[in-house]
Amino acid sequence: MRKSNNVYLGEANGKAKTTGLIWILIVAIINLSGLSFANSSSEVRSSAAFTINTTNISTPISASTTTAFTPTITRKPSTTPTAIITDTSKITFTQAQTPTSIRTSTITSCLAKSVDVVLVIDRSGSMQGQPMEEAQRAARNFIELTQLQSDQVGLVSFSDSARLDQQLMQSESVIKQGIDNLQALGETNIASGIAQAQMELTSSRHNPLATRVMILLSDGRPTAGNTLATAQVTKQAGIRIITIGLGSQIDEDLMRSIASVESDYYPVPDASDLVTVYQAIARTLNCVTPIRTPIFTSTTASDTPVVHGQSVTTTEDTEDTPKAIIPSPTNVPVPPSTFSSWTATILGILVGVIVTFLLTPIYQRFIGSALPIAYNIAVLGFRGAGKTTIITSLFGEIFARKVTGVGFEATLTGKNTIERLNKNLERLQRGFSLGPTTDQDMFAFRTNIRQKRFLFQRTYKVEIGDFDGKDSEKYTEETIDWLHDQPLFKWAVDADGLIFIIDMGKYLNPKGRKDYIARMTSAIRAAWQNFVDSIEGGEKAARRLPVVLAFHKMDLIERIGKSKSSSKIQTLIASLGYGKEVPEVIVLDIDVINRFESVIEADFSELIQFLRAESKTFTIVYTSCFGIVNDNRLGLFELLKSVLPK
Amino acid sequence: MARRRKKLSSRTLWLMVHLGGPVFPLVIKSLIRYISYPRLRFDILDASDLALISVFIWLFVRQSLIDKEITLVNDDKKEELRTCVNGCFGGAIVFFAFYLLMEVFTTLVEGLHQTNNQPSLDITKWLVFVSFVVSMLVIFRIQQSFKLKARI
Repeated sequence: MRKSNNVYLGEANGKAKTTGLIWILIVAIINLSGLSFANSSSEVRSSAAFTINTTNISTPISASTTTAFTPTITRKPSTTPTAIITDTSKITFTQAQTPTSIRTSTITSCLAKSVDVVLVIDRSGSMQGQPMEEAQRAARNFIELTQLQSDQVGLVSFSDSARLDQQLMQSESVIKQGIDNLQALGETNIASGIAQAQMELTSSRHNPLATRVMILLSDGRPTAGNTLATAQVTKQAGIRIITIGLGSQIDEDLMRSIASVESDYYPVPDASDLVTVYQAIARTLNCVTPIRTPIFTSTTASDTPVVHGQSVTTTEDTEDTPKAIIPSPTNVPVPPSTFSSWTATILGILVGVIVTFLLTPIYQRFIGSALPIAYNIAVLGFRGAGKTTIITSLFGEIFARKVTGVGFEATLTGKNTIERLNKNLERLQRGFSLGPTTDQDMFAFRTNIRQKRFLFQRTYKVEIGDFDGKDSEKYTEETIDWLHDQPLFKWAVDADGLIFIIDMGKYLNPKGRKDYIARMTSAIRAAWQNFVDSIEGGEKAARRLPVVLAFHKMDLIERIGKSKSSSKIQTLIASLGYGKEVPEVIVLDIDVINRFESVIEADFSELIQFLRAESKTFTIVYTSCFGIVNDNRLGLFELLKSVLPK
Repeated sequence: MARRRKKLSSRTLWLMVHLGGPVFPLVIKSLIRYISYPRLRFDILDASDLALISVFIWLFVRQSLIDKEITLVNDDKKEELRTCVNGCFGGAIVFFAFYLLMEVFTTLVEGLHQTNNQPSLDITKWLVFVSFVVSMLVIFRIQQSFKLKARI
């Protein structure tokens, strides 16, 4: 018996999307900051294969003294002189004695990755003179080789304690100035230098997308601090440590242990070779795999270790005769993702969507159930219109489980509501009316409504306010300020749905019918206008609210039958109660009701047109608490459905 | 009688006062950090400040719930409100604990150079960030559940 006029577009639809958007935003931020796909730790991907094309093979460089590393090529090319190194743990460090030629090797792939480097330079007393000068020269040269458009370089020096000479930055001149200011004096506290550099690399200046590297140069044995423990913590923090041991006084085992991996230790007996070593390191820092070769060979005396890098043996070569020397390709941090930033962002958004779909039900299950969304329904009607009876009967239907399985489930909640409803229902069953609601009786009947849609569900805490009918009548008053103080008004302007009740008992009385129609039209229009005037969001917000015009006590139409005598009808209505007693429940003939609908709508046409124009979701419902159609009380379910969020 | 219109409460205003207001200084701080070093990263948000701000947010929400006027009689609703008030206080305590942890770890790592506490500091930071996001979602829901509004 419900006539739906417009499609309701409730606010409920947007809320799941909001949660989703929040997640997508979070994931996108994580991606942008490089925390999702870009692991900035100096992870060594030993399984990463890279290809080296060797050309210009000439006389092999002899390798009489192989010190640190042994190159092993595990996958040998068949025809072309190409070596694919998969196991980088055994690459040889070569000391060339009499280099006779240079072999050029080209690395075919090199994925650039920005680097944050902190140069940690020993400025203890033993560095005075040429070592310090060479170290400064090498450091300056190193800075020139770094890509300061994307990379950052910092400077830490240590003697008795460490100090941050230059924080991570991209200004070549400023860093060089810091290098020039270094003066050698004091003890050797390597631990403090490492700790200081680590702090800088974990500070807010660090670019999360960049690999963190510190290059430690020292010429002596530590005299203070727990060097190994500090280095261990630094490495655990994902910072790659490259060590350079200068001179012969160095504790090689310690320096090797400090380094992230063995091949990150560079012994340099002669300070004049520092520049070359720093150059070699600089060229490898930005790459997943080394950049172009040749890197360098030495022309110095045979007993001077001048070359640092790995010798690579190709198919034609034997392991005894390394032919080419390239900078250490091992242990170069591999970017954790080979995706472009756009791909990563798109993937991030996709992950965000998936996470949203997975987490939203969990969120709704726990937070949504514990904190249901409040949804208030205001029932407005004059005294004796049957507001409390209709609310009680509505909840009676929920009790009887007659409003389940139709898109939502309603369950009663709250001790107070249950007690009051049972009391009211008992009174109605005994045949007594509920009587007019007084200020003391005003109550918010509550129920939880759960709507399910696909994987998602939304729980609403529906409150239906029961007020004194005389409050509704005051809506017609002109003194709006006074109306603002009414509890009903305060509550109603905050409501999410409105039900206007029209009493059929008064309408059916031929004597006052015209007056009643005029009064109700005026009262409801005024109530609506007051409502629109006061609601947050004004007319626009009001138009979205579900509004129901309920023609109540429809059972009276059938009870009166074909009686046309005014006095007879009056007597009949009076005898039917809605005073102290309520009538018996009867089965209604739906055809009789349908016939009357057009007559009623014609009489209230002005009001109906007004509400239809004002509200997008206006609905007319014919209800009865004591008339049954198809085993349900007439129109109660439709009433609830019309006013609830869609 | 002349019509005088009262300004009504507003949900947006409530969110601005209870969430936007406390977070505003942090936004300014982050903005300054970003301007001084224009890289988008999580570190521009100070986790320690965020934890302390979250404490205030929870206390403000708690106060708003206490001040919530219940127009209609229903003791169930009052009880629900009281439970939520206690929950908000719990939220404030949790974030205060985060704040203390952040301060302790930051002092250990940055002040005393005990870098072995760096992982603990990082974990606490992440906990603060994640908890803050969850808190915001819960507070939004609290607002919806109790129709909290602010009045000027």
